[in-house]
Amino acid sequence: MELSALPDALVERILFICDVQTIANAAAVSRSLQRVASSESLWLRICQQQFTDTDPRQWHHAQASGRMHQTYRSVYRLLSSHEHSIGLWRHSKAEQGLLLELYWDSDCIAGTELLYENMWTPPQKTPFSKIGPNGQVVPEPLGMKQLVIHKFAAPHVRPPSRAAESAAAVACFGSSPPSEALLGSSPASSFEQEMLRFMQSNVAGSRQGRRRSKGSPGQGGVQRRAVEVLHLERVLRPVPSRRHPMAGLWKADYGPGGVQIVLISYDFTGPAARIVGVKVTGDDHVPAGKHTWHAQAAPMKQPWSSKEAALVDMQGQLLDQRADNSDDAVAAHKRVVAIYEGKGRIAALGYAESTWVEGRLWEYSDGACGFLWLNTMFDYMLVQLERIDADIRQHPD
Amino acid sequence: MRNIVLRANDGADHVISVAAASLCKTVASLLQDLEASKGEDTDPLIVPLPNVCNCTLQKVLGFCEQQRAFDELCTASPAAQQADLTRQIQAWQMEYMQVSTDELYHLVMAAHYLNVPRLLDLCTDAMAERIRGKSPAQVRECFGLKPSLSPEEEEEIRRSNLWALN
Repeated sequence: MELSALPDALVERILFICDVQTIANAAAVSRSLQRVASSESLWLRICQQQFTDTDPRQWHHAQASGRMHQTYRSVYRLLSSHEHSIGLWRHSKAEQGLLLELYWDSDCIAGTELLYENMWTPPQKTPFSKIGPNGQVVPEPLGMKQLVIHKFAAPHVRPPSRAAESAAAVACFGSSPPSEALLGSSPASSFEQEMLRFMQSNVAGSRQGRRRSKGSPGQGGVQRRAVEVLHLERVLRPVPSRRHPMAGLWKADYGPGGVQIVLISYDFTGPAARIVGVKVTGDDHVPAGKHTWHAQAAPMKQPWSSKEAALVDMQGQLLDQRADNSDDAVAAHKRVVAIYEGKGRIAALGYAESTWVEGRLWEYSDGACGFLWLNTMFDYMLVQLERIDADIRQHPD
Repeated sequence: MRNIVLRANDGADHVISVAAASLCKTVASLLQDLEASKGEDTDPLIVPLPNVCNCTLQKVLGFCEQQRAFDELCTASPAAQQADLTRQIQAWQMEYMQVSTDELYHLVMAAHYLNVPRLLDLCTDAMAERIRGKSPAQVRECFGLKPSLSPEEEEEIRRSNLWALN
């Protein structure tokens, strides 16, 4: 009796500091505990404490205006099932790739797709479908690393099928004259409507097979087919540190290939540590998800050989050449402070005949870097890289 | 300085310092109102507490006096010793909370009634600790509750909470 005799406010205070599992267990202890454990005020507080970047009241409001009665407990379920979607994602299938950032907005999870047209203007941010309480875009996390996004068509009332209509008309024949106009305009709870609804679910339903999908929240048990399914892979943003100074997300100017997003990380699995650049967005030659270059994590010893010095001196010439071949402005010449020996990937159209050629990673005095392809068959190619952290809302993982 | 006397439901009186009383928000606001209407006075303030028993009141006052002493220690000691002091306070609180479920119930009610935020936090933490990870039957056993739900109702509640249970 002690626990049940406590005022509701105190019980709520106690449950508030418990985990959801404990609350669920407590709910089955007694009637009074059940009342507090399912109270709106308790779950609103829990929502507000756990989801500070969004407004649970707006989710509640949006849900309540939908089909069914909604509680903050269901808002909590929805928010916690959607929580895994927050973060940076890339498209794991398409060649072009895609960098998508999903983040909490006040009443939904909003998303932006980052695209760079060039190196000197801010990214083009394309809004992604909002993941919200209306259940039109439903995220389905597969572990922590993958996310499948289902987009559904806007829910609409399907007109009754011909078969159901005629079946209902036949069934109703005895009670009132079967005119189509009358059937369609009968009051909502009339016998005709009931019969129509019954026939609708039986005549039409038998054809469809009335399997209820194993409800992800917000789907409301209505069978729907996704009009678009998107498979995404989480991008874990490496944090730059003293041991991994270049780790992170960068934009890279591939000249005719456009500006692409490259993820730089450190690979310690081989005999010598390597700096690895992986394409997050790709082109017709080297698609998204493939390595574009790698370099040794240890810089070349200074003073550099005359060959290296000559390459460094070529920087201005390479940049001018690039500018001559396009309308691009001449990129600023940067001072090289460290050189890393490496290999760059080249490939024909469609990632055919992909091979590695000699390359150099240059670290500049301003913290940026560049990768030089020493392709003796064609021209040398210099790809300048710059960090894009400022264009991303979230902090690195 | 005015004396404050708290009177338990069996008539036993406890004199407490103004400093310790300030932790009980209910008493503190009474004191404030009194001073606002009558000005500084030396008449003792007698607060009858009809729903707090003597032993619980003693326990609550023990908490207030000890916290007060810790507060003074905290302000007086240098920053380097703060961590050590925090540990000491936690150890004392842990010891203080070694009470039966029945005592805990009376304590949390008294802390609620007298509005002692810090004691209330301590008590709700202890309560939460006692139900954490327990099945409904275990919670009932711990608090000596008789089931007020039928097995069907309990099963129904369990089913509606399945998402949270695994």
